[in-house]
Amino acid sequence: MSVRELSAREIADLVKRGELKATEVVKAVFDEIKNNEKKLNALITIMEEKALKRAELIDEKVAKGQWKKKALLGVPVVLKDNICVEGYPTTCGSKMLEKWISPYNAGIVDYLEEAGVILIGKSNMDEFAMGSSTEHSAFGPTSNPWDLERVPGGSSGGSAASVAAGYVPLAFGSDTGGSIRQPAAFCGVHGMKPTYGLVSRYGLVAFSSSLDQIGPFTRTVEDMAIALDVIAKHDHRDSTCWAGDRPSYSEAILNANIKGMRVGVVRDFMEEGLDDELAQAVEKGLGILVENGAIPVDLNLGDIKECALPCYYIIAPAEASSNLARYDGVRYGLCEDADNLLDQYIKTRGKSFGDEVKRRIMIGTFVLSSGYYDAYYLRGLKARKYVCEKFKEAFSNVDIIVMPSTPTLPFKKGELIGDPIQMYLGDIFTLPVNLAGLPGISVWMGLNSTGLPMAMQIIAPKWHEVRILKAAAKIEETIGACPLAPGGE
Amino acid sequence: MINKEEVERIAGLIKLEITPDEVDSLQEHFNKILGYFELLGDLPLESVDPFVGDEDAICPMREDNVSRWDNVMALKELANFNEEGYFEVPSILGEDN
Repeated sequence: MSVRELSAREIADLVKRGELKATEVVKAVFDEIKNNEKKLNALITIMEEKALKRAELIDEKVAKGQWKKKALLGVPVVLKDNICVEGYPTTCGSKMLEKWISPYNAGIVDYLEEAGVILIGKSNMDEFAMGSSTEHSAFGPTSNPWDLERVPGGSSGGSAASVAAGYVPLAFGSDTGGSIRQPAAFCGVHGMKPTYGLVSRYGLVAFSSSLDQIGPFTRTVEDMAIALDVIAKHDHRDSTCWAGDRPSYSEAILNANIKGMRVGVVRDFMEEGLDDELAQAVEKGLGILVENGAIPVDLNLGDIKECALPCYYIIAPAEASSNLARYDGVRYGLCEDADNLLDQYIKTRGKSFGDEVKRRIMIGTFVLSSGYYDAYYLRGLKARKYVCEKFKEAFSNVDIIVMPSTPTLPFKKGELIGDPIQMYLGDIFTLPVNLAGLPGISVWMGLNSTGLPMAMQIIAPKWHEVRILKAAAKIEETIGACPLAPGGE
Repeated sequence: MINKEEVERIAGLIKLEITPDEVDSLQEHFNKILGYFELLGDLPLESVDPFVGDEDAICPMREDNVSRWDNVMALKELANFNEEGYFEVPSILGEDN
């Protein structure tokens, strides 16, 4: 079996036993990247020198019998390029930060390095995480490893593609409205957005602070649980990070039993606007859970599908317009020459932000501006509360909810770039989960009749990632772990 | 409906230079997106309180300790600092003032 086919857990086991050298892992990873990166464009920054040094250190430690308790020892990892790694650029897929070097590590980078990983690179993304196709990157679009003419989803498209193509078994992204789950679905890998507050966001560049969350991409549910064990920790440097105890996710999924688990299915979501084969995939997933002893329950979530999209596109841009005000050419990144300070602000921001970022910060400013606040922003906040209440009501009757991850299969590059509403509609099933702060996973459900990846989403009440992982483990027992995509060979 | 002047006014509020072509495209997309927001008008939200944060979340308090961050030089290298330790920017009022 080649290195690219191994899971994170398998790599760590082999490295700890001395049966695979970390330096061999790194060499295999960079061979893979060199062979495929021209067609995929999944990475913005490659950290070859750092990775080799780190691998040599790991091999030295293992030879001395040290570091053998580290959960992810020798595992190559890719991070979305909005997560800071000290001494390396964090571009956020934007010209604005092209030359900005992170002065510190993000919280999860510290935790991952403590667990023994080898950082390989920073992945391509829609600019400042605003997009659903990774076409809004100042560094060019990423290709879907299952079909190079199609998008990998977004905004964490580079991370999803890196795992699907077999560069690495584990990558991280951020999810504000579906930016982990939607690219996971499009690239045929698992992707999880944990509960808001479960994972530290210290060192994650802010887009929409009440919605952003970091989470993993993997090809096995076991790796997902191990990754969560490593990154789900309280971090006092992020004041929204929950201080409570976290369970051992990897122990919780051993011999997972879902007998008696009540599984909600929202029939309204399975009708108009959903691809037929994706609807069948959700039915198949539900069937697998029921065969394993779960109890299906029909659910009504009211108007949340209609509500979530306008609500999200009011709240997220409003927060983004404030968060992105800091990019003024003085303290961060690019700076355009001008005669006076105001012109410097205006020129720097005009030349450095892309179309989608401009569109969203304009909308955000508009909905917050005098005369429009009540009609838009206040109404958006009410709609958000409505979404939260509907989920609360639903979870008094069920333990998890299954629904589609996306309404469509991966679309072709350029197909939706000129139609923002159609692009936004691609996140219709993932947005409500962020608005309510819930955990959600997109699980691989096999290929459709034309060879494109399909997925299903499983969501749970806050802090109940274990339920999601148990259900996902049962699905994986029947469907199988995510295979490597052909575009990465 | 949002007109071109309104698009330019908002760009001014957020200190954003936009070209005439961008004004046209932003106006078109703005109106489509705002039209979509009208969907919220059909929903029964009048009696719903606005979301003001997660009711279940307990924001942990921490000790109010002063701590020193040692990598200040890395920050200074990322911006245009002068010898006195201030950000250096062009004239606030412009060369002619």
